[in-house]
Amino acid sequence: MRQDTGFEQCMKCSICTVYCPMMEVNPAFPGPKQAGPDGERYRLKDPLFFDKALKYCLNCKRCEVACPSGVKIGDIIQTATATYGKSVPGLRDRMLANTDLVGRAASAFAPVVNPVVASRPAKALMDCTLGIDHRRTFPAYSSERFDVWFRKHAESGQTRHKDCVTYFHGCYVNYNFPQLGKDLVRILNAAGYGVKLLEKEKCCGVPLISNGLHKAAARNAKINLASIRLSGTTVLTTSSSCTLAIRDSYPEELGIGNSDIRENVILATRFLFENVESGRIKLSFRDDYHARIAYHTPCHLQKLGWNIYSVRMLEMIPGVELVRLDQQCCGIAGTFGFKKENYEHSQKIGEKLFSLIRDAAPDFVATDCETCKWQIEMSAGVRVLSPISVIAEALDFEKTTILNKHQSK
Amino acid sequence: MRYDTIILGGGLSALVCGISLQEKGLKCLIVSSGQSALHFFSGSFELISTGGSQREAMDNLPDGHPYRKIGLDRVMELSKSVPEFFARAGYALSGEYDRNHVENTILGSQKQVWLTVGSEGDPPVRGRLPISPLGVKMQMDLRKRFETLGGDYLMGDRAVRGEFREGRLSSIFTENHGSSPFAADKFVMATGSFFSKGLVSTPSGICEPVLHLDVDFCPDREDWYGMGFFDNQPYMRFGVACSDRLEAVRNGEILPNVYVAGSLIGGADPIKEGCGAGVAIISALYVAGQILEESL
Ligand SMILES: Cc1cc2nc3c(=O)[nH]c(=O)nc-3n(C[C@H](O)[C@H](O)[C@H](O)COP(=O)(O)OP(=O)(O)OC[C@H]3O[C@@H](n4cnc5c(N)ncnc54)[C@H](O)[C@@H]3O)c2cc1C
Ligand code: SF4
Ligand code: SF4
Repeated sequence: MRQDTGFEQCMKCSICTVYCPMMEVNPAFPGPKQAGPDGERYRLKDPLFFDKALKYCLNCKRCEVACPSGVKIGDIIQTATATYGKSVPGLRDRMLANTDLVGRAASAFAPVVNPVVASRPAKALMDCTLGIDHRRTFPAYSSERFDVWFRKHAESGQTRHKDCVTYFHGCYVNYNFPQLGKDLVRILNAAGYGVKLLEKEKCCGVPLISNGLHKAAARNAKINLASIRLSGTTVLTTSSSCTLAIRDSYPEELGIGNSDIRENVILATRFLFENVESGRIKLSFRDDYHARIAYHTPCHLQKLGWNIYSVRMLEMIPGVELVRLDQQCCGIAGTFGFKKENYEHSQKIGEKLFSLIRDAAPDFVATDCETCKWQIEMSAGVRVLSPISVIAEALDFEKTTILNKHQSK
Repeated sequence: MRYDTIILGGGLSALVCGISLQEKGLKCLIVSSGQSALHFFSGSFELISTGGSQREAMDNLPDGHPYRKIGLDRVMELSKSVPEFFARAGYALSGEYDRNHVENTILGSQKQVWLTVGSEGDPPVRGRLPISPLGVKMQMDLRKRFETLGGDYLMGDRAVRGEFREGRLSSIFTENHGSSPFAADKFVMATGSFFSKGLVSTPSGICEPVLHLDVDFCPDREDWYGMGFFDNQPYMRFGVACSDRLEAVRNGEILPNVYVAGSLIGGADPIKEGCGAGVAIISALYVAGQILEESL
């Protein structure tokens, strides 16, 4: 499973240690340099050098972004945890990791599950039996899954457009928040693009990898890659973590090659921006839309470097006053912050971001990651929207459709 | 994506140049593959440390030194504007722009320096070696200032190649953005020296790996290193070739819309002359001045 992580490239400058949010709040965590390239040298000599404290790594990749030598520190740590950290994930970790399975079940019983999960007794029960912190707000499940809605209400109309893109919706859109997917389909249709879904879509694997379930993640990766190849189109995403997983974690952490399709998987805001910039599509925004928006860059989007596309799309909307928040980790790191033992660290890491948001006093926050959204909504008390949903709120669909008429058959 | 100016690099030179341009309203992009030499900043900038009066010390600089290209009087003029520049970014610098003062180093010796963060005589701010908390803070603060002024900063992304049209650089491509080009009217190369991989050593010589700019170096490898530790180290002076206006040269031709700034420029020996930060800051201000002149 070991990939080329470039750990011999480390020149021991310690720059990575300055940018690690976990190191700042948790003295038990050895930090990226020691847990990553330094530790790897020892572990290669004797696996007994494996340090259990590596589990505290958020896999936020901020260390990698800062490293001047291109060492894939996060990958080294994740791979070490998978290789040497023999502990079998317990029920709680498997539940949090299997977003597909749990989501499917929960969606089916959403009206019952939502109030129960939100109730005090259930939270207390989950806290002491499962170790899911009772202070967490659980994202609500939707009663109609996105893929079900799409097949029922949207699919048949998609072929009237000349060009077609595929949408990788991810678990969050499918089980918790189908509205985001609906927003994207509406925008793309108005811009003259038809949308299809993958023949078979599985959870991208991020929660599986971070809970040590690499085999399950690899199974999903293979199914997703096969479907992406089959689709033969550009594949759009609305979640930065799904995007990073498909593009980088598959080859780097799971050892599954994707170089033939890697460039085709892109965030929807990047796709829209590039189409607008090239003049291929035209967007017309309502003139009565006004909002003061604070944009938060998720760690995984910073790693991709694509936050500029989301920012540019938001700036394109005439009535938007945009505050670009200084890039700070929100602290949740996917399923990490849901675990009882991590709750305090998670909130402490996020505090910098929460106070930046409070200072910016926006109408709402925009960001491209669903777990950042949960964390910010719960901890900073502000509504959080995906840039795609903001575009959908501000777009004049009628005018946009007319402007892009020539794209339809 | 289109910008007025795109700066490759992300260290002191790139940030000073980017901030100067954004202050005047040009839309800039900085592409930085990782953190920079600023993380090891001692707390004092050096302009030239070989003598008492800086202007006089400069008279002894060899031909081809970046200060000579810029013009020694112009260097002093730009030097005068540096304290103001940092004050706008929230940093009070002590010391005179045209005279060195003496600083105690962490090693206990004394050193001639130009401008110091905080007030003179403060003990040097240093945490655990080798990272300097002050340098880290300055890197973050300058980046924040650049972004607050409206600039885009791509952190952890490497510029990999350029596209040329009619003798000019038209766009660059980066690792993270694959086939999506970044286009601009002007470009500044501030990718640093060997330490930051702005220059790399290959079997056929020294090369600048992004745009393949011409590099000045002695062709004979035997001449690269001085014998003793304190001897001249000729390789320190290696760097990309450029005109007196600091325009880059490629295949022997001047690239009229690509400037070079910082330690990537050849001709200086920052250790011997004590001019590392000086070259980074002064060349950045000089290049920004020219870009502004041409754009307004
Ligand atoms: C270890 C060290 C300590 C120093 N301490 C001091 C001091 O205390 N006082 C002083 O006066 N001078 C000091 N100097 C000298 C001087 O400060 C530096 O030379 C100066 O900061 C150089 O700035 P720069 O911007 O030219 O280059 P750098 O700081 O080297 O920055 C270059 C940047 O370019 C990026 N880069 C490289 N290639 C690419 C690419 N292909 N795409 C995108 N980005 C790329 C790098 O990641 C880096 O961020 C020091 C120098 C070093 C090396
Ligand atoms: S930043 Fe990179 S090179 Fe420096 S210590 Fe960390 S891993 Fe090593
Ligand atoms: S991935 Fe994040 S938490 Fe893990 S070592 Fe790197 S910076 Fe720290």
